[in-house]
Amino acid sequence: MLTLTNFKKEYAGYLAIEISSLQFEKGIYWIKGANGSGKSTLFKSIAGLQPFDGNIVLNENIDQRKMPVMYRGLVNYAEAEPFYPTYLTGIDLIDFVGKMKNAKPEQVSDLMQYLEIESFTKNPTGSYSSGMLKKLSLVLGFLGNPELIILDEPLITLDVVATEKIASLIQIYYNKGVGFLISSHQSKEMDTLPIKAQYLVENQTIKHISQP
Amino acid sequence: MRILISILSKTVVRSFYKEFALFFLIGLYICFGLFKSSDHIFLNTFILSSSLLISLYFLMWTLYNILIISFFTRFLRKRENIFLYHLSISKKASLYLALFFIHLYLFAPAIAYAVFVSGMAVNLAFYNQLIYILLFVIVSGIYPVLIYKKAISSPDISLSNAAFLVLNFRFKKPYFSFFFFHLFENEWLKLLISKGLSAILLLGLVQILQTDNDDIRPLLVVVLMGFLPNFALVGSYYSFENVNLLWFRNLPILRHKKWLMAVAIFAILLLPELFLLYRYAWDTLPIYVPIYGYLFGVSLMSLYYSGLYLKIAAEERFSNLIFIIAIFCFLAILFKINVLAIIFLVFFTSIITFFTQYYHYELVVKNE
Repeated sequence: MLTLTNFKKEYAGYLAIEISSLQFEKGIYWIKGANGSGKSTLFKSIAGLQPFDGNIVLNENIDQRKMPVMYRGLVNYAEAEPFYPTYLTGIDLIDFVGKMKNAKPEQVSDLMQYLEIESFTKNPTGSYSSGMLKKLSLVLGFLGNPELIILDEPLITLDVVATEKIASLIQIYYNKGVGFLISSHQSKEMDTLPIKAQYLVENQTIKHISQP
Repeated sequence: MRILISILSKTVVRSFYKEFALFFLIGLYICFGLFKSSDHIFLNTFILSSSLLISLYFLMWTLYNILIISFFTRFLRKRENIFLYHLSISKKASLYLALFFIHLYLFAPAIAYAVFVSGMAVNLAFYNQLIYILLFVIVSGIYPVLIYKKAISSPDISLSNAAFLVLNFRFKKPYFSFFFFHLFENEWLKLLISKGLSAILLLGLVQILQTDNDDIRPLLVVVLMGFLPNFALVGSYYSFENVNLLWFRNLPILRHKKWLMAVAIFAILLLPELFLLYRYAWDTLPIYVPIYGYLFGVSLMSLYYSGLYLKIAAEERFSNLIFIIAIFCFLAILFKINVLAIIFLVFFTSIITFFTQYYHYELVVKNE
């Protein structure tokens, strides 16, 4: 599904994370690590949000550098602490991202209904609570026809019902053939998912820690 | 009462002028850019000469009042402003007076114009019209206060808002408009300063470099220097997408569409300058020349935008980039290179730079 080769990310000369070679087959992967270990840096690089050294290739032939548009059409990302311009409504963002990601109207309405965000999406995001923002970012993260969805701390700030729904949604999309890279500190909910392998980000690299 | 005025001006008045910054900007450009003072005098003399025609003023001021009232009631309904309902427990007289002063702040642009028109009416001895205008302004200053008071006294203000439902309707915003909303919401001061500075530079340079022949080069120099303040807005657009909307980079954007969208946004931003060029460029130039100047300005902005994706920009040497672009263009103008060739070359360089650099973000992500 995803291959990283000679991957390296530095910030102003400071090495954040370095991975000589890593391959994720299709499945759900749980990426662990302490705060500041470099999980989000890794996720942002894979999502195409920031420059890096090395190569990231999806499905053996879709190189993030050489085919940037196609790559981004297949890799979705939902950030840990979503932040949107306060004057935009949820609908503004969903319409725009849905159009960019070629999401069908039924998918948009199904996701909105499933995560129960319809009641507030017409309001500007500046009036949202952190849980509402999180739900909105997760809806955006599932839009379109992705092959890989990166979820950075998808369960934080959500209530119990929403947490269970997200776990079910991940399972549904996984059954459709979508792969996931998930970082989370919520062990209980993550244990309900069919995790293929767990990785730990520490000491500026990533290592495999378990395989069920 | 002072505290009431203070809290209302910090919330309502400030938000009103922020939200309608574009409205006022366009108004200022039309009033002081498109029209000369002699045009204003001619127009107002014509309107004041008829008791019927002065209803145009009344219509204009009424519409403006509806806009203010609509804003006020919508503002109160926002969750973050619910605390303003506490004002209803203050003394009635103080509240009415505070609301009256707040309305004066909001209605000030109309009052300013009413003063100007009244002065003209006195000069022209149109005393009947003067009385109508003064009465109308007084009434316009009072009845909104009653509506504000009612809105503040009853948290369920759905009925009082019904009349303004059309104005409160929220349209979906296409991505194209996101940046404009960002400008008016967060960078309205930068917008006003850059546009004001650009207008002053343009008008000043037109006066200094005016010639009596049809040489287009002085006008291109006017554009080159006069449009420079707008580069600050290009920087805002770049930051908006690459810092404020970092997740935008995860979207599969086609580069030619992205570039065209940026160019269209710059073209809209430079429309006021196009009006000024048309109005104030010297008469000896052919009529199409301001269009060339405008296109030259848009091409410069697009080149600067593409340049921001280069490594040199990542190292925060923005001024170097502006300097290089300005020198190159100045030499091209000086050596009489055809203006259309310059415009084409600038656009071409911009698009090539953008296509090669767009997916190689070099800007260090500041929030990390």
